[in-house]
Amino acid sequence: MDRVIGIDLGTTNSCVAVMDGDEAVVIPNRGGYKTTPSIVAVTEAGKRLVGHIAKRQSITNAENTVAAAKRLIGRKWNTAPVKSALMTCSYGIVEGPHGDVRIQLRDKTYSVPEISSMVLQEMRVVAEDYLGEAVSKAVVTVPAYFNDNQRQATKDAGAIAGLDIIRIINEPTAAALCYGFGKGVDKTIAVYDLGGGTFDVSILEIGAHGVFKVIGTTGDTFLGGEDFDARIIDWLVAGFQDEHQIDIRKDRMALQRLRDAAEKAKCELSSVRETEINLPFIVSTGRNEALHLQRSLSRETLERLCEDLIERTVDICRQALVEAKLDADEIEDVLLVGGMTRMPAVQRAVTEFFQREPNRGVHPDEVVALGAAIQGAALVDDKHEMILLDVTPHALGIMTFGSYFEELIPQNTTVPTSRAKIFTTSRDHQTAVKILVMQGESKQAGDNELLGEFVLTGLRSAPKGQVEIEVTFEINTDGIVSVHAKDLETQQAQSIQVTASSGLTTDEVQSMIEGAKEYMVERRTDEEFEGAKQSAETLLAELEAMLPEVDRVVGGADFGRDAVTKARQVIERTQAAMDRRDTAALKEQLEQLARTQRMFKGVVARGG
Amino acid sequence: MSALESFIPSLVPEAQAQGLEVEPVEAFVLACIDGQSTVGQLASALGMAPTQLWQVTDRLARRGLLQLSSPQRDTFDAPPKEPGHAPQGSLEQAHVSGVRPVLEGRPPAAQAAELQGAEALELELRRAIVELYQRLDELDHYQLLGVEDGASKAEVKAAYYEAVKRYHPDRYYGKELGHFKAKLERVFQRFTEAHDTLTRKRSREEYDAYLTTLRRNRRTEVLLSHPAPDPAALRALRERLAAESLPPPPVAPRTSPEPPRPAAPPSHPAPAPPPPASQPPLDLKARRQALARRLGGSDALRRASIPPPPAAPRVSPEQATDALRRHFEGQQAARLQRQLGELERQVSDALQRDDPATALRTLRLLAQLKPEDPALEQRLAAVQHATDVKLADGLLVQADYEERNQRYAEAARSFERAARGKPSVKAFHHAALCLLKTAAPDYRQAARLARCAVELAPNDAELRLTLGRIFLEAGLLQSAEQELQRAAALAPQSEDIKLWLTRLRRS
Repeated sequence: MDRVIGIDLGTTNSCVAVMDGDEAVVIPNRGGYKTTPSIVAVTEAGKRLVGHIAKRQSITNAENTVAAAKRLIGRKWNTAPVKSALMTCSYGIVEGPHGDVRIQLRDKTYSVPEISSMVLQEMRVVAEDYLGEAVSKAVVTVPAYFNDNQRQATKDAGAIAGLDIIRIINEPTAAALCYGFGKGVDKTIAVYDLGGGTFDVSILEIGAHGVFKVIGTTGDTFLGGEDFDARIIDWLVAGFQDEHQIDIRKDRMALQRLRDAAEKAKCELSSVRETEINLPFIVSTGRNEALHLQRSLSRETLERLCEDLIERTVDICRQALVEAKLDADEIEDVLLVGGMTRMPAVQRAVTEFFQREPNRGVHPDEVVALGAAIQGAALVDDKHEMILLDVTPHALGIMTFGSYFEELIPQNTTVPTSRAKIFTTSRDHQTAVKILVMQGESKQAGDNELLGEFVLTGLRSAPKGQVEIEVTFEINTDGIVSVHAKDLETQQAQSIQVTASSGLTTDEVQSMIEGAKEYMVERRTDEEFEGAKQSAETLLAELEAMLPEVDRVVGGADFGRDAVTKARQVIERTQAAMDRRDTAALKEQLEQLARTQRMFKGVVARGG
Repeated sequence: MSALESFIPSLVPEAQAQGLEVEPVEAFVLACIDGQSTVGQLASALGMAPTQLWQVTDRLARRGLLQLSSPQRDTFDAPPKEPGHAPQGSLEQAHVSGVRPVLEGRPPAAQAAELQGAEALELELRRAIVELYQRLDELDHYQLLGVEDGASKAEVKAAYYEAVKRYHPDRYYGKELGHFKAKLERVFQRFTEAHDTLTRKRSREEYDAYLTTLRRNRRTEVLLSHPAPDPAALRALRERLAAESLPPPPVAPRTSPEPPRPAAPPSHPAPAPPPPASQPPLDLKARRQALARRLGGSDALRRASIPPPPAAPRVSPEQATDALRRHFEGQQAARLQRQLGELERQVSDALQRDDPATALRTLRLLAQLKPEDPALEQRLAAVQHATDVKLADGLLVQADYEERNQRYAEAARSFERAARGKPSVKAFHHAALCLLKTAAPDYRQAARLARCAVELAPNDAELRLTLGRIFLEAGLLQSAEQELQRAAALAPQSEDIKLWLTRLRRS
């Protein structure tokens, strides 16, 4: 049976987990860390870096380091979130050919799914190293409030990384799975998930029978830890401006340093009351004078700076309860998910709102990946009796005459589901209708997300309002939205599966998959070579050390001189192979080296 | 309905007569059941609509007076489990037992085809899915979940979780599900709808109220739709009354499937014995003849109900019979008087409870027992009217719920029938509006309804707008223009009306 890994693809950090027997475990990366920064960079030499190694060089290579790509995934160029990202990002963002967003790193532009795929690929490699086997299937989590385009783009990222994403599940739901799986929990719970970039609240009912039913979910895909950091940065920048009349934001490297310092200060203030922000030589004035930034930030100040952000999360909690038709006292447990929930002010706000101490039994950074691994195992393995019933976070519908949005599937409907409605033509002698499939809560179609479109033709030419078209929306268990339109008179039908809308055409995804495959091979080869090189170097050092001694012992005899000459030849060939970076040749030489080493050891032992 | 028509009603041998609660038409139908004819055949022989006959047999089956069996029961070895165990005697029980064998009634080939396409699933499960899928629209939420009407939230949830674990497609992830996937999804969706409705206090209250109203309305409608009873039924009823509590019970032909054979007098020509149960049903003509015989000779019923004369060997048979008849007639008259008094009491009780439907039913019985009583007829007319009005109120409640839940076709029908019983602007107007929202609106009917509303409130711009819209959608541009102009004159500020006038001009 194929193993399915669970990946929490986070805005700032990602995490991977797998089912080990009846328990899900987090897989540490090679550095021993359980989470990996979702950061991708391209070095001057054109080398891709992902994770901690990318984070470490982010200050010196700010322009070519992408952090928080998740904030851009599945978004259209022409939207407010992208515009605001343009203002704050240190890397280049350009418009793609389909109105989508592309990221400029050195001389190449990448789609956002491509960037995310690099992170997914890294997580996959982490899992493969740990499991010692190839992994091809994954359950990946997304914020509950992600729309279909964002989910689709995430799926695309998986495909580019060579992963078959068998299910996309919502982060808070995953957290609840981890909390309740196999424990016979029978409760109504709330999950408060404040991550690096997104905020979700989900209300779930967990039945003792292993059924997890999401009652409602709401959130904000542009509210997270980064916004808290931004408040600190603003405060630092404003203070600096007051003091020196210099906008340090203009310097990309300074901005990146500010960002790092802000995040660090924020984290520290979760455990201490005051912290020092010290950024020497942050910027230089025109007069060759270097300026330093040094300020101390107290927890109170931070809380004041971020008060409204926390208030926003509480408002969303309130909304979630209203939509779930529950009172706060009907919630029997509250889970805190996401690194931001370590902030004392956040915990206070949650405690106050739900009138209960949040549950401390789950690890805020790992619980989501664990839940994803559980869902993956439950799907492919019959022995895990668990069913997850999730909801569609946004309403689905079509655009009608006058640019109105006509809802077919309401928000928070349990999937799988389907709904049908009758529409008619809006013009006389209209023989075709265009169905614009949309997602969102606004009555104005323009404010909602366009998921796809198709045309139903061959209608009878008649006065408007006479020809009737039945439109059916369907969301299946896999979360795939399909829309059918049928002319009730002729029974002629047309339908689409809403899939190719992540800003990428199928061909593009295909070519990116190919590109990633190449990269996969390239990377593996690289590692192999490095491994061989290391072994060769060790052996070489030993041989070099033993050579004089061997020469002394057996140099007198003909066979001895031969052996030493041969050994010198092997050493030379090894050096050459290393210089050529020829992995295959190097591996061949490794065997020779090992044999020579064994022989030398014997000689030295006997000779000594 | 075709599946329902193929059921064969037969009398339940051990059933006990249950008081007077048998309506004339029911008694009539009971008297004609031979355990051989299907609902459809009986309907055509008796000249009733199959639906009407179905409703009657349904009600009788619910009271345990007769049973409904499918002609092809044998083709299905394991009868499907019955998920609904609603309280005995409620309407839905009859529905469940009625709809249960839908799959059974089909030709075997169709079943086989429907059960194919997902061999990875066990046959039992596939059968359950197909079965459930076909019944989704007929079951109410309680029946679907298999819980009692008053089930607690926890019971509803437990039933739902069980269903989820059986019918959620994820349970069968990676298996080839074929057409079962869509069916599973649909079944699951329906379970979720039931769960969501019943676990939220407000929606459940609304649904319960709707269900109660719906059931009451259905009963009342059936009651009102019955034509005046025919003499044969009346006779049967009288005999029933007379023979009440006399052994053996009056519903004599209960040795199904064998119809009763007249016991005496022996000179009377016996009806042709029915063919054995295993033989194919008689052709329609033969069946009609058999029924005609049974109806004509319904004295067979009486004979069967009267116990054999007591042994009195030294009295001449004529005398004995005479004495016996006098004795029975005296008893009958006294019993009739008691029954009449009882019925009167029931009527006033029902009226006091504000239950005109029951009062009407009882009054009708009274009217049949006292045929030439003008005062009674007046009361009957008054109560009939009250029932109509009451039904109309109930239908309005029902229609509101249906409209809110976007079941427009049903809502349109309910509003329309409510308007028939108690004409009101709202009923007519909403009937028209709902009709417009259905799949293939009957514009003529919609226009008629809207016009009725307009006649009741000629100065209501909204009603004229609706009428105008209907004309417009039906392509009657001149009439549409006229109505919309009138609406605009009544409400010059209305943006809606302006919008529709613009649309009209563009047409």
